Amino acid sequence: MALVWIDGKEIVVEKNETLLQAALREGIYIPYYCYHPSLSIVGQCRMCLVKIEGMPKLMTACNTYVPELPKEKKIDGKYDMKVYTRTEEVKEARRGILEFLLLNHPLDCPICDQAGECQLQIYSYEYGNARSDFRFEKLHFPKRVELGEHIVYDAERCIKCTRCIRFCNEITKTQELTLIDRGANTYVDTFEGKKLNNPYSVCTVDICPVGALTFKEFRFKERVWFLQGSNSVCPECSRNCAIRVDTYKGEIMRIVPRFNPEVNNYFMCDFGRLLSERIKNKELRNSPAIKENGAFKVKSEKEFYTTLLSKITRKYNSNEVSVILSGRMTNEEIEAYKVFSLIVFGEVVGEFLYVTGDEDKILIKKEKRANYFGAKTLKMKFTKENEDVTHLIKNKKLVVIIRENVFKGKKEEDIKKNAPSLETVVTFDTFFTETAQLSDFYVPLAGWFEMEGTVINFNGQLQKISKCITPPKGRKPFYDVVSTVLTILKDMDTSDFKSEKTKEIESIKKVLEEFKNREVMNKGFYPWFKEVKNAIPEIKNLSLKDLTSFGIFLKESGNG
Amino acid sequence: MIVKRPVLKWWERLYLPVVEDGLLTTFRHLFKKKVTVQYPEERWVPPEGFRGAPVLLTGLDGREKCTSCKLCMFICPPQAIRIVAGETEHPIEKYPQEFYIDYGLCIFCGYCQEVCPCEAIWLKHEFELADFDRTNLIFGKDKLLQMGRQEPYLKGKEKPLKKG
Amino acid sequence: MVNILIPAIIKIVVVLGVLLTAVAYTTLAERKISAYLQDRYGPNRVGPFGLFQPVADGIKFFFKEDITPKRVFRVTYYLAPMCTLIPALITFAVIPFGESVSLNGTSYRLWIAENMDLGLVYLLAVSSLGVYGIILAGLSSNNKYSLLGSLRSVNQVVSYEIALGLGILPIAISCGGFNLDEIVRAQEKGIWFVVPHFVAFLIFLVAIFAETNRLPFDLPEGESELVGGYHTEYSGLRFAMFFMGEYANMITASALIVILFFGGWSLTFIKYEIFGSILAAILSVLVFCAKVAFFVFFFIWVRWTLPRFRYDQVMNLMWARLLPAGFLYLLIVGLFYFLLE
Repeated sequence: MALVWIDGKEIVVEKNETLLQAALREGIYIPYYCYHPSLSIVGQCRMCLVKIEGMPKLMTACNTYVPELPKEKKIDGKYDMKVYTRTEEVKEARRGILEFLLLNHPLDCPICDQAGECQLQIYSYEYGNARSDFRFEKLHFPKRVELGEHIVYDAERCIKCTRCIRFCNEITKTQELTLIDRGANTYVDTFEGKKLNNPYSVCTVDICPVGALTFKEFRFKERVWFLQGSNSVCPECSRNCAIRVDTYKGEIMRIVPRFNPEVNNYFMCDFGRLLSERIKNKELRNSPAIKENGAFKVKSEKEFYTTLLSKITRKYNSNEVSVILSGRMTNEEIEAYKVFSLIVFGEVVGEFLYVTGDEDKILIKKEKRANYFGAKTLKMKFTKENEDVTHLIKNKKLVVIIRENVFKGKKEEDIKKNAPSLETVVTFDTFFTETAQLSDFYVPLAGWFEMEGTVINFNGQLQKISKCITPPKGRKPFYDVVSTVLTILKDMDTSDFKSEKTKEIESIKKVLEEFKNREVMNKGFYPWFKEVKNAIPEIKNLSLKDLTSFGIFLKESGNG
Repeated sequence: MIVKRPVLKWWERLYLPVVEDGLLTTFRHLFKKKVTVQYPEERWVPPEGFRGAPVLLTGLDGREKCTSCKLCMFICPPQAIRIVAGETEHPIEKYPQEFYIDYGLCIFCGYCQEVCPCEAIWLKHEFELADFDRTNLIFGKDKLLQMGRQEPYLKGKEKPLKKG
Repeated sequence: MVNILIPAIIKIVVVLGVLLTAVAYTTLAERKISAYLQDRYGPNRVGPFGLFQPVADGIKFFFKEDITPKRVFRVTYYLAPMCTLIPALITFAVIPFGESVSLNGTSYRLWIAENMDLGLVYLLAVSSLGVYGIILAGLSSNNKYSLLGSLRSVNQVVSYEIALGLGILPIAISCGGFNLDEIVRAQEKGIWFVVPHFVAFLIFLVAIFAETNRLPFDLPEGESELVGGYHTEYSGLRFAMFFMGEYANMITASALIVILFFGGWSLTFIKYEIFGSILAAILSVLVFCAKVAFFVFFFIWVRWTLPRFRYDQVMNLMWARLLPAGFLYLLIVGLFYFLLE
C-alpha cells in the first residue's frame, strides 16, 4: 500500500499493482499500446512514459511498482511517489515515441481495417506530429501474410507490442507466434511449420492495437465507423461469452467479444465469432406455412394458427405427443412454452435436447446450447441422448420441435420407419432447416440476434441478449408466438378443437381465464421477463437495468 | 445604427416623380443587351472551380485511384455514394468492387472531393445530367471512370498528395 | 330592321374577333415586354420571335385538366369565369373607334351601339359587373385565399369606382354629355383633354389601374400573399377565361383613356376630311389602335416597374388622397363653367 500523487490526485497503489494499472483504475489517462489487463507486462512500446519525481529519466508507468518508503523519506511528508503525466516533457516524449512508431508505418489508413478504432490514430491525434521528418525510403516488411486460417498479418503496420505473442503464450498456451529478426527489422511470425490456428486465434486481432492483424472474414467488409454495436451473448455454448454484434444496415458484419469479468474476460472462441459467417446464406422464411400436397403454402397469421390449433389442441393424449425443445430458447421463451403446453396439451410436456461437444479449460464448455442451465433452472426435463431423437418420436402421433434441427440429414422414409404412427410434425425454427422441410407446419421464429431475452450460463450468470437487427414482421420470438396464440384462442370458438371432452374445453377456458388479466396477452419481451422473474425466486426484484453490462449471478443456477 | 427616415417634400409625397424615375429606368433596360443564354444553341461555360458531376479519376498507371476508403460515403450529406470494397493482388490491396453515385441524390457540395485522401473523386464541369428515369441517374464505377477520363482540363494536372 | 341588324352583326363579329386576337397577343406582349425590361428575350421558341406562343398557350389551356375541387358551390363556380369575361367584352359596345364610313350612300358609324348618349354611364355600369365574377369565384371556391382575394377585389373596385367617376365627370362637364363620340369630337376641334384636365387624367389613370386589378393594385391576386387570389382553384379553360377577362379589361381601359383624354382617333393637326371617306375611316381606326396599343404597353410597362401597394396604402390613397383631390378638381371645373356661363 503506497500513496501516490499523480497530477494533484492522491491514489493508493496496491503492492502487486503497477502505476499504470492504478492510474487507469482511478481514471487518470495514460496512453499505452503493449499493456493489456489480461496479459503479462513487458514495457515494450514506451508509450506510457511518465515523469516520476527524483528519477533522472522518464519511466514507463506500466512496469513501475511503487515501493512503500520509510516515513522520514516520504515526499511532502506523506507521498511515496510523485508522478506527472501531463507535463511538456512527457508530451514531448510521447510525440517522439509516436514518431518512432510511425517511421516505417505505411500510413495506409484509407485501406486499413483498423482505422477508426486504431490506437495509433487516436494517440497521433492527441500527441503526435502532424507531419513526419523522415525523408528516406521506409523499411519494407512482408505484407498480407496469412498467419492462420482467419488471420492476415501486415508487418509494416505492426508496432511490435507483442500482445499477440503473449496471448498465444499465456492465454491459449499454444505458442505459435514469435518475433523474427532484430532491431528495426523485427516482425512477428509463426514458428517454422506452425500456423496460428488455435481455437482463440482471432482474439489476437482484437487485442492488436493497430491494424497489423486483421480478421480475414471481416477484411475490407465495412469501415468500423459505419458499424452499429449491440450487446448480446454468444449462443454457441453454455459459457455465454458476452459479445458485441456489429451490424451495418441490418446485416451482421462481425462479432467481437465484450469485456465481462464474470464470464469471458476479454476473449471468445473463433467458433462463436464465426457464427456471423455461418448464418449467412441460410434459407429464411418470413411467414408461417402449412404443407399441402407436399408443398408449403404461406398462410395469414390468423388462418395459420386457427388451423394449427384446431389440429393439435387437446387431440392427443400426452403419451402420444413428443415435444423436442432446445437450449437455444431464452428463459422467456421457455416460460412462454410452459403456457403454450398447458393450454394445448393440458400439462407441461416436452424434453430438452442435451447436446454436448468438446470442451477446454479456457472458455469452451461441454454443453453446446446457450441456455441449457436456464432450462434447468426453470425445471424442465432433459433427454440424455445427444441429438438422436429416434426414441423421442417412436409411437408418437404429434411431434413439436422448437429451435432444433433434429432431422438433420434424414429423409422422410427414415422418419416413417421410426415412427409409423406419426401424424403431424410442427416445427418452430429460425431457419428453414431440413426438419422444417419435413414438417407439416412451419413457424419461422426470430433468430438469436433478432430478439430480446435472458439466458443463464453454466456458472449461473444471468445475461441479457438484445435485438441487434430487426427481423421482418413475420418472424417473431417464440414468446410473441405464444402471445398471438393466446389472443387467437380467446377469440376462437372452442368447439373448433374437435374434442368431445367438455372437461378439457373447460380447462382451456380456465387457463385462458387465468392469463386474461396478465400482461402476456400483449406482445413483447417485458411481460414474459416478468413471468421469468416470478418463476425464479432469486431474481424476483430484478430490473432490466441490472442486466445492462455484466448480468447478474444466480447462486442456485448453474453447476456451482 | 439608426437610420433616420427622410422627411419628404410635398411633390415627393405625390409619389409621381419616383414613378417616373422607375419607368425611365425600366424603359432604358428595354434596349440593353440581353443576358439570356440561348441554351441548346449557346452553351454556358462553367468557371474554374465549378462543382458539377463527381467522377472517378484514373491514375497514371491506368488503375482507378480510389482505394475504397469510404470517406466520401461517410461524409456525403445526402448519402448518394455507395461503395462495396474488394481485395486485389495489387500492392494497394483494397479497391472498389462497386462504386455508385446517385446523381439524383447528389447535391454537388464537393465534400467527397475535399475528403478524398487519394484525390480519386473529382467534381467535373459536367452539369447536363437530367434523365427521364431515376434509375439511370445511378452511375456505376465503369461509367464514372469513363467520365473521369474524358475530362480534358485534368490532363497533366496530376498533383502529388497533400502534405501536412 | 335588316338594315340595322346586318351592319351591327358584322361590326360585332369584327370587333369581337379583333378584340380576342388582341387579348391573345397582349399576353404575348406582356411576356415579351417584361422580358425585355428585365434584359431577357422572352418566349422565342414557338414561331418567329415566339409569335405563335398565344396559339400554343391556347392549345395548352384546352388540353389542361379542368379540375373542380371538392365541396365548391358548383353553379357559381362555373358561372364566375363567364361573369368576368362577358362584361369585359360587352363594354366595347359603346366605344367608337373611327370615323364614319360611307358605302353606297349610306353612312355607317364605326361604333357598335351607335349614338348611345349615356355611353359613359353604360361603361361604368358594365365594368362594375366584372367584379361579380370575382366575388362568385371567391365565394364558391371553398378556399380561404380565394375568399380573401375576392374580398380585397370587391373593396378595391367599389372604392376606386368613385375615383373613376370623379375622373370622368370633369370631362362630361366640359363636353356637356356622356356621349363618347361627342367627347372625341370635342377634342377633335380643340385640344386633347389630357392637357386641360391633367388632374382628372391622373385620378382616372390611377383608378383605372385599380379597376383592372393591374399592378401596383393587384392585391386580389397577390401571389406572394394569396397564392393566386380569387382564381386559385381554377384551371384549364376556366382559368383562361379569367385571364382573358383581365386582358380584355386592360384593352377596354386603354381605349377609354384614349377616348377620354387623348382625342380618340383624332390627330389634332391632320383633319381626316382631306382623305376619302374609306381611307379616312381606315386611317382613323389605325390611329385609334395605335393609341390603344401605346396604353396597353403603358399598362405592361407600369406592371414591370412598380411594386405592389400594401392594402392599407391602397385604401389610404383612395379615400384620403384621390377622393378629396377629385372633388376639389370637380368643384373647380364646375365653378369655372358656372362662371363662364
